[in-house]
Amino acid sequence: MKTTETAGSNRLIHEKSPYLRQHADNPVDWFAWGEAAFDKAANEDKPMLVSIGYATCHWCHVMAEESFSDPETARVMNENLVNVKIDREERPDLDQIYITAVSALTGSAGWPLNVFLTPDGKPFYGGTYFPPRQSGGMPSWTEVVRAIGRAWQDPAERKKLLDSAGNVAAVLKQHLHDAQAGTASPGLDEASLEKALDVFSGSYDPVRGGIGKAPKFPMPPVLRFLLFYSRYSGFRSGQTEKGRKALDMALHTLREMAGGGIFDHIGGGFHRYSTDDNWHVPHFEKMLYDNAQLIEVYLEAFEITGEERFARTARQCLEYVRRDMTHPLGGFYSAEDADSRVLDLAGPEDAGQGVSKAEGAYYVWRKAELERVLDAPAAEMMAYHYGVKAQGNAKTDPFGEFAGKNILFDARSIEDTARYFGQTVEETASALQSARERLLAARNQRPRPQLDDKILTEWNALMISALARANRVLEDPSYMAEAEKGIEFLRQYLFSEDGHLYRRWREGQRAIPAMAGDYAFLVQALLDTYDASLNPGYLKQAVDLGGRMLDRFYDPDHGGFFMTAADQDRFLLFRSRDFTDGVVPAAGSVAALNCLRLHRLTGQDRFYDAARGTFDAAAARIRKNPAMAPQLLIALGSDLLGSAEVVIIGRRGEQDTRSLLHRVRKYPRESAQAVVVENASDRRQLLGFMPHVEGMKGFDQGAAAYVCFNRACRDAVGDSDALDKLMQEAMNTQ
Amino acid sequence: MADEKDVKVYALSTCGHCKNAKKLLDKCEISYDSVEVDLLSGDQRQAILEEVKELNPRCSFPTIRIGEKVIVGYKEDEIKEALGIS
Repeated sequence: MKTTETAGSNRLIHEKSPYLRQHADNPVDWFAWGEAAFDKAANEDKPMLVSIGYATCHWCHVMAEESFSDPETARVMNENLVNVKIDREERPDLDQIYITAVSALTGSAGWPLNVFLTPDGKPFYGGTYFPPRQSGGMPSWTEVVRAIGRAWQDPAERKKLLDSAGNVAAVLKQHLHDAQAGTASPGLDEASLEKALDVFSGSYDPVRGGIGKAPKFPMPPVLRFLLFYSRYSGFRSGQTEKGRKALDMALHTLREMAGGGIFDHIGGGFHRYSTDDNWHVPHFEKMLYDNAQLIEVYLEAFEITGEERFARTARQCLEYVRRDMTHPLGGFYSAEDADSRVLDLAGPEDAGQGVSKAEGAYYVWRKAELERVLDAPAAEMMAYHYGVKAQGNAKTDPFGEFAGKNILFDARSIEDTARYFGQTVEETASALQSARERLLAARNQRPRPQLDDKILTEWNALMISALARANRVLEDPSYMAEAEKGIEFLRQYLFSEDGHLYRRWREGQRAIPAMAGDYAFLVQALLDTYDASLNPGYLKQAVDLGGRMLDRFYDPDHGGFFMTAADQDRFLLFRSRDFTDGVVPAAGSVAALNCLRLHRLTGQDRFYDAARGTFDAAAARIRKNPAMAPQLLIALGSDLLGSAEVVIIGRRGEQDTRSLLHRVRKYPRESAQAVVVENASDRRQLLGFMPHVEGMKGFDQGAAAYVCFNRACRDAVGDSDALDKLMQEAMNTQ
Repeated sequence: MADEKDVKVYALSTCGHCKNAKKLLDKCEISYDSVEVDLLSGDQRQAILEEVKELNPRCSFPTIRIGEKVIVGYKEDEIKEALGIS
């Protein structure tokens, strides 16, 4: 056990972020971001190093071990710099500013991100990983630090650095803070969706699925866009060639990913990305945000196609999160490391076992291990089905990590395996299932990868949305219970007594005022949880929090959302915006759809105006780069399509209400919203923001549905076919 | 006002968009006739529904007649344009 008294630990020992704590034993005199660091830089007239990474980042660990743990390197750093460590997952706002800076200064950027700042926080030089010794034209880390230190002490050189810092800050501000001047240019329209689709089609891999070449990331916002587009074009103009193509691209990618080594066939869940084009050799870290979003994408694919395989993959991811990533009180952990200590289950029992770390060590198998753990027929079947070979099965192995090791993937279809072993498909599936369970148990003898157990509001909200959808699509109430427990966790631990939302909780401490992403994803989660549970309390919370999000983050002058509130942090260079839907979509893109949904529920124009303002603020950038914001384009498509808002007056458990509800739920959440009013308590809770439910009544003979579309309403219907007809009319009318 | 147009709002008592449309007309100080079709019964209801169907075959609400112009739904800009106010 470490204590604060441990000799040699620095002040990061007092931080809760696992990433910052990983550096608490460094001889580098690290500071966390904040006043103390800025004071020291000003008092001692030193430049600052801001070093940004995250707990499961492999090259961050490498640099920490090679350079930040080395006493001589630390001495040089401490002498020349004020050194600040940032966990990018805690502070995406700072990460965005400084990674954009390094990208502007050097043409590329990534993590670990090392950026040098003037004492007032302006970046003037930076890079990513630096080696401990000069190699291949790359200067060593200490050379870089010394050079910065020398330049800062030399008045002429310092002036150059300050000039550079001034220029970089101006460029950054223009790029990240300013909205487009005016919106004289035409806004986004239907063609914007098609242009994005064309870009995705152009870089699509028709053989193995996915967009672009290795490394291949499962890009949930892109997959969702493709699925949305296929439904959208179906509503707009009947099934079109482009709509079919979008659906094929998404489904083929999902099948390839689920069959590849990027999927953990033994324990469920997806790894972060594939280093090869075939989805076979992954980078093994597992992120909550990937799994939460992919659960939703697979469930949507299941909804559209009815293919059981998609539901199975979703269930396996849900099981993974339930088993390995859930706090006993209901929150969800952030991530699991890629590397872990190697323990060969068929190897010698000597002291060398379980000492050194390797990428994927917890997940990969030697053939001999399969044969040790399983009986011979099961081992043979597993090897045949999952492509296990004595010499190992990794075709690409850039760092020589997988010699003799196997990354399981669907080498054969279940039908092929059944045929080969002369069994039925059912027998084969059940034999593989029990072999997988035995391997899972055996694998647990190995040391687990490090768990990043901090709890982030933003990512937890994504998981809550996934659970709510799982409850709805898979009709399994246990998922609803987990979603509600997740919301309760956030309510209890991430909101302060006076109602302020925070971003991170760990070891009993909540910290960091919530950013736009935390608000946006939580509003979305509350809306999704309402859709699944029909508990009006969640709707009320969504409306309240959505309103607060507008107050704190919306830019009424230019439209769009800032990542941070005006009072977030006085050391921020400026309030930046995020326009890009990466692996996790931008807060503004999620907020735009939230605002449309909130407007449809409440009729409050400020929500609608905010959605339109967000489209307009992004328009010029998206015209230049049509594929940058697929999530925002889903919101745009939803607005172009319009949405049916249906209020059902009836009893939730009764058949008439359920069959009306069923008709609404056939439509995606982007284009239909159902609210159920069963009793006086529901009505009372809803009246505050949906005053029109007041006069709505059920029929004498049962439930009634009130449908509105495109700001016009129909008289109530009771029959589900009549409702269906109204819904169809609505979706095909502009 | 000499050029004040004849305005009629066909509405439902349960429709938020109808309420918003009427609120907009009130705000613009426009005088109008309105009827809440769902609160009528029998022949009266049938007669009004026929009227609405002629203006808007889908029979959705609000259906707003401003002079010769018909606007379906709470479309603020269209309503203002038809009223000649901006």
